[in-house]
Amino acid sequence: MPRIPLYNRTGTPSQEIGAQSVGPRASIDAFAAPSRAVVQLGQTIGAAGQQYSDQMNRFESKKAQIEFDFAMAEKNAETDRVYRESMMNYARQSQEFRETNQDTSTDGFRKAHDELNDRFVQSVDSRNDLTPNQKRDIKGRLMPTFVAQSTQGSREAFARGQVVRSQVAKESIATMIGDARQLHANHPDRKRLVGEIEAEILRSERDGLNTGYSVQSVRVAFETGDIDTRIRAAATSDQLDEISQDILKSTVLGPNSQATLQNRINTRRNQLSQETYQDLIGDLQALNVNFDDQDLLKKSAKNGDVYVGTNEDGEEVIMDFGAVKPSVRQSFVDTLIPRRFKEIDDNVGQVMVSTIMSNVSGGNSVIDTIEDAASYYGQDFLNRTGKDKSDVDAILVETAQQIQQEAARMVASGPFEQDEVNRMLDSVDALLQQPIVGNDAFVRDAGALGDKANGIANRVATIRGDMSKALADAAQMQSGVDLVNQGRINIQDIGLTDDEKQLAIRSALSERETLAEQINLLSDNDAEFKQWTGLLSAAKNRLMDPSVTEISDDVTSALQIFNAISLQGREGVFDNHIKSKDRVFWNSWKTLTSIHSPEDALSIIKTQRQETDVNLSYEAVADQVNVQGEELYQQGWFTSAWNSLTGGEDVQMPENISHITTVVGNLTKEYIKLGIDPEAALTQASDDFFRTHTNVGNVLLRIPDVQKFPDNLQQMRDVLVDKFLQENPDLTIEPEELSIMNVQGSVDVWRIVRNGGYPVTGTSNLFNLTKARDLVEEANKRAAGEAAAEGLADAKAGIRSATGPSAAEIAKDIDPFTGQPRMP
Amino acid sequence: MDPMTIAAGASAVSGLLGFKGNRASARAAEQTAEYNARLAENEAILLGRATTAREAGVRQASDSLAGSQITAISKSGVQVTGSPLLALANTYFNTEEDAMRIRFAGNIEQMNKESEAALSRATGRSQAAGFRLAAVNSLIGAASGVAGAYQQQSLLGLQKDFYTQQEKA
Repeated sequence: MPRIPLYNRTGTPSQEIGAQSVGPRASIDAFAAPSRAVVQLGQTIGAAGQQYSDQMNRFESKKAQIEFDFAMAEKNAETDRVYRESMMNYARQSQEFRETNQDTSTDGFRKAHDELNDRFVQSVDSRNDLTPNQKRDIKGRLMPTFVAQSTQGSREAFARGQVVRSQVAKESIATMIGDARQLHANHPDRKRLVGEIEAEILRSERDGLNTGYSVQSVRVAFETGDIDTRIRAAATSDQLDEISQDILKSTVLGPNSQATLQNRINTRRNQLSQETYQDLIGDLQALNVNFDDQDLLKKSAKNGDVYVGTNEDGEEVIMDFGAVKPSVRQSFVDTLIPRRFKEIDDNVGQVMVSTIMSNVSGGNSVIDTIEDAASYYGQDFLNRTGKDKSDVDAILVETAQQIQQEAARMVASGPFEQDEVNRMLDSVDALLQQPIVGNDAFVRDAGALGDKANGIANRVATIRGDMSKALADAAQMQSGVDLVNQGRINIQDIGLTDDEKQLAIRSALSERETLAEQINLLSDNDAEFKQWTGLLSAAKNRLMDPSVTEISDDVTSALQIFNAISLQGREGVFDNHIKSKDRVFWNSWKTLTSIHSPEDALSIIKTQRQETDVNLSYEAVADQVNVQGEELYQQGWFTSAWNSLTGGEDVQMPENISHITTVVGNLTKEYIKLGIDPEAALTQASDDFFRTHTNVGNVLLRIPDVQKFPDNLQQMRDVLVDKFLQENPDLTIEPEELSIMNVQGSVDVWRIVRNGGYPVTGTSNLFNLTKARDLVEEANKRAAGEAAAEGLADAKAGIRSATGPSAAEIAKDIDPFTGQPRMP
Repeated sequence: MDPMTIAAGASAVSGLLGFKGNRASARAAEQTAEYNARLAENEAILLGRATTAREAGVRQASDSLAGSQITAISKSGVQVTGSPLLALANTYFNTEEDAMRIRFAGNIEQMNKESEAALSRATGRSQAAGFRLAAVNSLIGAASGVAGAYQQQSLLGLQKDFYTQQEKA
């Protein structure tokens, strides 16, 4: 059987008819990628630019902020600086104003002070270096000071007014009191005056015036004065008793016043007694008495009798012992009268002692001394003096002791004559150890006198040893002084201790008459005189002590020494005597006192800030100051001040340039220490320098620091230079090259100088002020005479031109015979 | 060069590049979509052709099978009745069914490709529109950046002016 093939079904149509890709699908992302990259690049650039811009803006903003903060801080600092300067300036002006103001009314003071304030405010407003806010700030900050100064000044003006008014009232009251006291208590005018006085006192109290008077005090004073007058006039104790009763009855006097007056009564009572007592004492001393009168005097005193005697002139002396109390009389009996006679006795003894002593000092030999001593034992002498042998013995031993003591003092106290001391000691030995007029030597006496004599003799031996040592010491000290005088005290060692060296220096200095010579001597020795060092250091400490307001003598001495050292320019002496810690102060002092008064200089130093780095700040202006030669004339600070000084006139330029730059530079540094801007400090220094200097020929000269120095320095310079050139005709110097300068700050000595300060040799190159003034006066007279002569000639010429030729002149030109003018 | 100029320049460059880039992207998107759409359309055409060819092949095989069936029947001397007939009918009907299924499947695939082409174009336009919008946005952004820089600069100037006034006051 054949097989019939069957239909075989195909698979799934979808599988059989699958879609076929004719190419890969394109990706939009892929094709858009470059464009997107471009976009992204743009975004990146944009973001980067934006970020950069943001950063730069932030940076610029921050920078601007910092610059702004800095500028504002700088502005504030500048404001502070200007404020401080203005404050100082204003305080000084106001202080000066208040010190010189004499207003006695507050209105007057305020008006004048307000003008000062207005000027000051205007000066602030007119500044171009300040912004309106700065000016407003400064003025605002100054306002309390304005108010304080004005208030203080008003208070002072009021106080002055009160003082004046008080003084007037006080003088008025005092005058009336004086007038009233001339009158008796019951006099009508006295009563009227007292009434007026009391009214005046009440008015003064109402007005707050301090007259020192009150109604009660005046009443008490009048009562007291009246009673006091009575007390002084009282001559007896009874009168004083009566006054005492009146005091107790007084209704005006208080207990204290009464007690005071009672004391015065007692005083007067004692005074009366004392006067009588003193009269008696005086009479007793004046009496010419001998030893026999003593008993009678004592008896008179004891009984209160009157004793009548004579004085040495033969005048009568009456002593009424009854005028004093018994106790006083007893003191005469027990003490005063015996003392009078003992004095007479002692006086004789002392004369004996003094006679021998003066003879020994005068050169008496030992033999002469023994002869003097022997003469005291003569009977005439004993009779005349009332002495006996034992008295003379005691006097001679006393004489020996006093001579020995004098010799000891001479040896101990310093320089002495060796021969004189030896002669004195030999005399003592002779008096004590030699027999005199056959008597045993005093040293052999077994009693107290012998003991005393032996003690004296032993001390004589000691004094001789002391003298030898003192001579050796003196010789060494003299060697030291010689070394100082030779300038070798610190070079040659002769075994002196430091203290001994100081003594040698002191001794050598004491031989120099002037401070300048002393400084030169110290400079020659390169030595320190410690007394000066201590003096200068202590002076600095006292000057800087805020509690010290007055300059003591020690400080004055130290300042004189320092000024002399500075003027002489002895740097070695300066270094040796100024301690390193004090140098800043003394350098400032030196600089500032060359311009300012000592008080102002001290005030500035106390205001300075010592921590300020002066040299660093000074660098800002150093180029303007540290100039050489004529470069100075180009500096702004100089030209400004110079034109101000000369008024712009064409005058000779100064040639003492180093002096100018040194002083102005140092002064600038001192002002910088005040915290002032360097430029302002330089300007201030320049102003102050030119304020205190004047141009004299070719130098700028410090105006002498004395009150109202009257002389015209330029004229003095002209006269002295003329004089110098006349005296030195051989010198080839033009007058313009010469000027004058005062020597070492003195106004008394003037020297001819050349080229801005160098001394010129020659005749008449040094003048004292008197001589200079004489020459100027002489020149003035000569000039006046010449001017008068010239004026007379001019006057004659004027008269002649007005009146025509004189008759004689006309006659001279007319021929007397012809009557016609003479032919030429 | 001051920051404002730099910022403005950077913004301008950014805007310009953004504008041009987005515009280029828009063009690229449209062109790519068009390209893809055409690919799909081409594939639809190819699918139609393949469907027709496949249907023709089925029918040709069916005709051949029917001929073989008839030949086999004839050789056996059997009348075309009963099972032989059923076999022929089966071939016939199966052929038709397969042809219909092939045609149906081909239609579906073609429709799919046409849809793909349409979708591709729509997507391209849509993205191009987005890119164009972005391009405009870039320009606006650039302008905004320049304005911002100018504003910053103005603020800075005002700040400096203020400081200067304070310093001079």
